[in-house]
Amino acid sequence: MTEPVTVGQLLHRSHELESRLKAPRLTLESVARMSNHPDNLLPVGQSTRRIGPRIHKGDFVFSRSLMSLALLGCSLSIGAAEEPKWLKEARAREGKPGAMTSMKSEDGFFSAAVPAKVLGKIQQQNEGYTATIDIGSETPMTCEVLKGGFDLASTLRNVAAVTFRDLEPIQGKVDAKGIEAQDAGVIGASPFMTVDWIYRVNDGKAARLGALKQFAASKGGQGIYCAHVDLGYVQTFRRVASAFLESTAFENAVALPDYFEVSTASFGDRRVGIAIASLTKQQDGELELVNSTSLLYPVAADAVNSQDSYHVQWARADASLIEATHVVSANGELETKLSLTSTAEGGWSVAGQFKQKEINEKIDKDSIPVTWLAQAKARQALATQSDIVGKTLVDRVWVVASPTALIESTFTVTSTNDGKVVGRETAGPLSMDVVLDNATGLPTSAVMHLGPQTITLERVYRTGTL
Amino acid sequence: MKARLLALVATLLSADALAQTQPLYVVPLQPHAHTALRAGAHVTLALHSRDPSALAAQLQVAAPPAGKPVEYALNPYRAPREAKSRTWRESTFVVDFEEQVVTDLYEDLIEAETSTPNREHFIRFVAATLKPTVGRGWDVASTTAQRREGDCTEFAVTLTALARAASLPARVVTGIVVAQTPQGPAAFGHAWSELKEENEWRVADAALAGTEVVGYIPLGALTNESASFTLDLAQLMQTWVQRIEVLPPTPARRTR
Repeated sequence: MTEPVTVGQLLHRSHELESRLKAPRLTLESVARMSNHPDNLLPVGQSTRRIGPRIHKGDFVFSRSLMSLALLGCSLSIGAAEEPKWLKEARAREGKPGAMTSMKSEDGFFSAAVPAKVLGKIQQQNEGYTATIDIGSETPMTCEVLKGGFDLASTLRNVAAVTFRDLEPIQGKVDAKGIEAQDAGVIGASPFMTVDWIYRVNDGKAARLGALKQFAASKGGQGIYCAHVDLGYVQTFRRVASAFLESTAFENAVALPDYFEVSTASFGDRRVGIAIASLTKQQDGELELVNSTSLLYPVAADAVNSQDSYHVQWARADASLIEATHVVSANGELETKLSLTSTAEGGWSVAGQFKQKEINEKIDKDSIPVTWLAQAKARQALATQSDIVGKTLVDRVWVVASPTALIESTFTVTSTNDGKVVGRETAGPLSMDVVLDNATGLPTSAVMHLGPQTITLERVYRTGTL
Repeated sequence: MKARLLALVATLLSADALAQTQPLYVVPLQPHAHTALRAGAHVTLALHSRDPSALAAQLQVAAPPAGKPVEYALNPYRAPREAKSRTWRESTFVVDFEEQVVTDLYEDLIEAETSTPNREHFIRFVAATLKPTVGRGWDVASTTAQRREGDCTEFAVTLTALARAASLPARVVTGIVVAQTPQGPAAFGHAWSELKEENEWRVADAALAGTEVVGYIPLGALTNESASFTLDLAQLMQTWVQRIEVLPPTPARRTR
């Protein structure tokens, strides 16, 4: 097989994926190492000033706000009516839009432009670059470019953890924190995720409030991470980070795959992650099909967990499966790495690590797993027919939730309003409602009710053809 | 899209609650002024669900009239139906007590407690041994025995594994617990163990040891303990409770 064109250099054939997993990444550990470096990549390491105005003990109104912070956690919202004037003003601060300023790394690896003043030169160390940007606040924001990219969700989670850890010697113990806002989307063809934290530090003399804003994205095979530690400047930070992402050009940018789509994932009304599907045609006619997800979801009042998953299928030109892999990392730690290969007897076998446990099993010989491309093509063909309400397509699929047994997947058309094909997808015990894109046979949206949650995927970007 | 949505589902399923507030799995609880929610209290709950009939069947109670919630007597504990084909003593993918690291943990239990441990010993040992954290998904017993941390699912799987190591029938149950928290009574998604004693399934909940538990609403036992166990969890969660209302004490209810 020829060298594949990849997205974010994270999506590889199995042996390449394996080597990639062993390569340095922006994990908790690597960030921890970086944070000990004099040229700390994290913005908080660049400032020893206190964050936010002093909070006076006995300020009842403020204490109530802090209580809400401590108790409400992820849905943390300090009610405007309860906020003292200074806090409201601090949180409402924004920088003035500045003239566009261009920047370029000394080695020419990347260039970008932001509507703000760039302070000093771009710092380069190891596999990364850091630009320091003045957005009008006491603390500047930083934007970093990490060669080779990173897992979006685990980067956000683990860098936040290190940031809070590094805050403590400077500002006092972080005794409460929570996510105030979370978002995910796409700028151009680049998926991004953001998290806005608010936290309270206490140095034993007084409590103070602070804020950490994070922005992580993937572009041209590289990772982009911007952060700012200060109350307020929410829109300014987002505007500058977005401009950085949009304008960044790389010396050796990786081209987009032949087909590429990005969807946002929501739990309830909260966008918690992204999902990407791509198809890359190889020179020998084979296809590399990739599904990846990055999710950051609340697990406690002051904690989030991350999951980054990659599911790669290699297929023939007719969309039939050659082999496949599932790789899942939880909180930046490899949890699952499985491969599905055909056996000499004509069946399939699964081998690798699942839930951090080795498995090696054969799958029922009579079961043939299909690719998502084959499913899409079948649905695309179905959508061209008339009177399709009630018609059902049945396949067997290999999903990470059932690694050692294929599960049956059915798609039943439930309506065709305004030319849109709406159907009910059932996979094992799970059911979801999907709206098809008739042009590709892939869903433009999917909704599932599971337990207390409504899980939604909405496609927000598509380019290329299947 | 489906594969991605299933990945999300796997994430949700592995993100279980501990005793603390769990944003994904908190079930809104509406108390009643005249019904005290104390440990073991005989209270009746109205369980609001998208599919009340299915929920009633799952909970082994009478199906409610159309449009009405399921009425559920919180105590005494009502164990889920038993799968007759199981001994609940097997070493499985999830409850892999034959792995050396679990065997070692069992030896620690014997040393710390007694050579013939009972339900109280298992609860006390697991509660003392595992560090409550929220960063794990749904780990199998051998992983938890090694890491010695986790949330309610790790506590339940570990306790179940140790009980089976002692040749006692044990299983993992998922559902909803009503408990007193520092913020007052709350209901949230939970997992716990059941040990069979005197031919009766009894709750063994190490994660909430020391917490005042009002009662449990078991949605089902984890019967599929293979590598496909998350699908079983999905099945159990199909009939989730959206909201719980504590009903007023009535003479009829008091006599139940």
